[in-house]
Amino acid sequence: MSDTGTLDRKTRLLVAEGLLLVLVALACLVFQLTLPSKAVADADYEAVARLLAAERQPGDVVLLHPWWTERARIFLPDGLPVVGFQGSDGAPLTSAPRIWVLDQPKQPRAGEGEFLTKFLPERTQVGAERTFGNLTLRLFSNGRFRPQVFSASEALARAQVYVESPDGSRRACAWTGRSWRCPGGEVGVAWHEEHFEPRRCIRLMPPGGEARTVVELDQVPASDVLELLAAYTWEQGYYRASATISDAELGFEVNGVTQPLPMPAPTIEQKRLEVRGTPDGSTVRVWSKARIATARDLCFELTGWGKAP
Amino acid sequence: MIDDAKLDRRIAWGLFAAGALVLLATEKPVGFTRDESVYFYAAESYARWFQSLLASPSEALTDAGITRNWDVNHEHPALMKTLFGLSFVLLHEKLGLLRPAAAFRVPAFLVAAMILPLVFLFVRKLFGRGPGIFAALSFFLVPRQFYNAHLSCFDVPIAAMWLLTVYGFWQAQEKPRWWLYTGLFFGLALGTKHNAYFIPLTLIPFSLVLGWKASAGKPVARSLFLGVNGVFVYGALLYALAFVALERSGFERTFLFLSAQTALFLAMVGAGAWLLRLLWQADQATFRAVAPLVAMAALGPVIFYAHWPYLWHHPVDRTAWYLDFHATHNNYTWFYLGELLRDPPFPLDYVVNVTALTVPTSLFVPMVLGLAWVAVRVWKREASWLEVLVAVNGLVSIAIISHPQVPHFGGVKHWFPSMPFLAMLAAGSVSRGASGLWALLKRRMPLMREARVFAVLAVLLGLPALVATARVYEFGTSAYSELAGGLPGAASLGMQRQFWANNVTGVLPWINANARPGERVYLHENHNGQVNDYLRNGMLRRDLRFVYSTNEADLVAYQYHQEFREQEFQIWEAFGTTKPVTGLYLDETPQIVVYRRK
Repeated sequence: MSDTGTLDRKTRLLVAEGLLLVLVALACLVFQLTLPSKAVADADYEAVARLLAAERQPGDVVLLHPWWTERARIFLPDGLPVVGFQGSDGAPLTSAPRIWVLDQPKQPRAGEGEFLTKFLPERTQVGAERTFGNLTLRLFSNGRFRPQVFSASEALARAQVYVESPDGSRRACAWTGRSWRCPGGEVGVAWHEEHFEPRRCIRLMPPGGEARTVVELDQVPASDVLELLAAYTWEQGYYRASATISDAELGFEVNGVTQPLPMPAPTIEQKRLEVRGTPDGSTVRVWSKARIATARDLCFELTGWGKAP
Repeated sequence: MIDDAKLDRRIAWGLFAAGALVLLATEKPVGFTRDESVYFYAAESYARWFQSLLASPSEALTDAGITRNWDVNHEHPALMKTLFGLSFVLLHEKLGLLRPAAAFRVPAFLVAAMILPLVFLFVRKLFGRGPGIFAALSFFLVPRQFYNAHLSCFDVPIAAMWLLTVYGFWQAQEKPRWWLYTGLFFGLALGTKHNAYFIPLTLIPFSLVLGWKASAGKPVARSLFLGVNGVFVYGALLYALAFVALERSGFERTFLFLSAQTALFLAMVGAGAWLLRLLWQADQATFRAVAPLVAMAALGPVIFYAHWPYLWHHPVDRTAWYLDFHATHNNYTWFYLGELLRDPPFPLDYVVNVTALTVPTSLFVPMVLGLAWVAVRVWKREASWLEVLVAVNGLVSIAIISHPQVPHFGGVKHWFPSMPFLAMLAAGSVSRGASGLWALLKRRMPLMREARVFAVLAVLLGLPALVATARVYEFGTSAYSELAGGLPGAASLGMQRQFWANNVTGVLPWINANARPGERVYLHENHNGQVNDYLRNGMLRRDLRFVYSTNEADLVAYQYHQEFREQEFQIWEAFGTTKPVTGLYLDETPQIVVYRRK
C-alpha cells in the first residue's frame, strides 16, 4: 500500500484474487444450499399422476424434461408411455397426437431454451401450464403426428421369416409363439437400446456368410409413408470392423423395388429409409446380411403412416 | 508457551487423528465396490498365510505354500492388502471391535489420514500455518476424495505414498537421514500401486538441478555428483541393451538370483553407494540433492520384492506379468459429455474437464489460481524450487492420464496423486486473497487482523464443499461440482452417472424391508464377493436368494450406466414393465433403479 492510501498494483491483484474467491465461495454456497429445494416431492408426482389418469387420451405420451428425470416412471399411470432418453427433446413421437411435457425447469442446466428449440417446432400448447411443486406439466398437440396404419412388429406373427441363400433357396424359421427361431438367432419383438433410445423393435440377426435373414410381409395396407428405422442394438454399433467383426447390410424391398441400407462398422446412430405412397396389398421384405454375424444384432421397425390429419 | 515447531507437530498429529477418526465414524454407509470386495478377499487370504507361516513356516515358505494364498489378485502389489488383512484378523476376528468391513478398512483410514499432516507441513513451509490447515482439510472436502479415502483400495493410499516420498525428498534437502527415509517411502509406494513408477520422473529433475547448483565451484563434489548419476544412467543403459539383445523373454528367463542382471543391480547400488559416501564426505549439500534418488533406486526394488511373497520364488517373470497387466489394461466404457468413450484416442481435455466438474468449484478455482501463481513466478524467475516441486507434482499425474492412449476409466481416482499438491497451491491462493482483502478492509477497520480475514475466507470456501461432501460422500463416484451443476447438471451434460457398483447400498434398506421371503434378487453389476460382503456385514437379509441375471430374478436393482441401458431394457422385456418400484435418485438423478417382475 502506498503512503497515500491507494493500493499498489501488487496489492490490487491480491484484492482481486480475494474478491474472486469470495464471489466463487458465495455462489457455490448458494448453489449447495438451494440444490435440495429443487427436488420433487412424491406428493407432487402423485398429483401429476392423478391428473394424467383423469385427462389422458388414447395415444398420449409423457415426455420428460430434463430427459434423465425418470423417477417419474415410478408414479405415472400404467400404460401411459413415458419418454426420456438422451436426445428425446427432439424426438418426433410420430404416433402420439398429444404430448404431456413433464418438466423440472429449476434443475441446474435444465436448458429450457434449448429444449424448446428442439421440441416446439410443429407443436402447439393446449391449455395452461400446471405447476406441482417443482414440476410443471404442459400439454401439446403434436403436429408431427401421423396415424399409424401398419406396424411390422404387430404383424410379425403372420409374416414369413426365412434364411435365403445366394442361390435363392430358403430355410424357413420356426414360430415359437413369441418369435421366429432362425439359424442366426431369434427374430422377435423386444425392447432394445439404439443409441441411448429404448425402442421396441424386431431383432434381425444376420445368419453370416452370403445368406440373409428375411422378414417378408404380405398384404401390407396402403400408407402415405412406409418407414424403416434400423440400428445396431446396444454397444454393437460401436464395434469397428476387424477380423471378427464385419460390416452388415439391411435391405428394404417394397413390391420388388429394393433399397439397400448399409450398416458399416461402426454405425452408432439409427438409420432411416422411407417409401412414399405404397399401395394396398403391398409385399415388403426386410433382410439382414453380414459376412461375420458375430455381434451384428440389428433391430428394425417398419411402420406405415397415414396422412397427417 | 510452546514453540512453533512443537505447535506444528501437535497440529499435524491432530489432523492425522481427526482424519482417521472421521473416516472411521463415517465408513458404515459406504458400500463395497467391485474391486474392494476382491481386495477384502485377497487381504483375508494373505492374512491366512501369515497365520500359516506361524503354524508351519517351512510349508508356508515354499512357492506352492505362497501361491496358495498370494495368487489371488496378484494384479496389484501387496502392501495395503496385507495391512487390510492383518487389521481384519486383529480388529474383527481376535478383538471383535469392528464389523468385518470396518476392520479391513482401518489401514486405509490411517494411510489416508496421513495426507492431512503431510499437506499441512508442506504448506506450513510455503504459506504459513492457517493455509496449511486449510489445505489439509480441503483434501477431505472433495467428495470423491473423501469417499475413496474410506475404501480398502489403493487410490488414496498411493496418493498418500506419493506425497510421503516427495515430502521425504524435500526433508532430505534439510535434514540428515531423510535421504534414506525417502528410499523407504518410495519402496512403500511401489508396494502400494503402480503409479509409483512415475514418482522418480518428478524428482530426478529437481535432484539434478539442486545437485548441479550445490556443486558449483566445488570440483570434487561436481565430479562425484556426475559420477553418481553416471553410474545409474550407465546401469540403465546396460539394462536396456540387455533387454534389446535378449528380447523380453530371454531377459526374463535369464534374470535369476545369480545372473548378470542381478550383478548389474548390485554393482550399480554398490558403486552408487560408494560414490555417495565420498560425496557425503566432500559436500553435504550436493549429497542431499542426489542421495534420496540413490536410496530410491536401491531400496525401492528391494522393498518391493521383500514385501510381496508372491515374488519371492519368481521375482522377474511375476513382476513382468504385473507390469504388463497394467501396460496393456483394457478400457472400460465411460460416458463423457454425451458420448460413450470406449477406445482410445480419448479426448485430451478429459482429465482437466472432469477435474473441473468434480472438485468443488470453491476449491478448484483457488487450485487454478495457485497454479497460475507458480507459473507467473517461474516466468519471473522468482519461484522457489519447493513451489515448483509442488506444482510439478500437482500436474504430473493429470498429464500422464491425459495422454489419449491411457485408459480413462475410474473417474478421478487415477490422478489422485496430483490432488494433495493442488490443495497446497489452492491454500496459497486463499492466503494471498486473504492478504488482499485484509489490505482493503484494514483501511476501514484498522484493528482487523489478517489471520481473521484468512479464517473467514477459508471457511467460506470450505463450506460449500463440506455441504456437498456431507450430502453425497457415500455415493462419491456420483458427485459433481457446482460448475457441473451438481449431479443434475452433470446428468444433463451427459457425464458418467456413477461407477464401481457400490451405490446399491441406497436401496438395500428397501430390499430388506420389502423383498418377499426367499425372493430371487439380482444386484446388477455386483459380483458374488460384494453380495457375500453385504451379507457378512449384516446389510442384507440372509433368506433372500441372490442370482446373477435378470432372467433368474424376481427383483433387480439396476445400476444406471449409460452403457448398460440395454440391460435395463432387457429388464423391461423380461419383467413386462417399464415401471420401477423404487430406486436411489440423488438430486433426482437415477442411480439405482429397482424393478420387480410382474
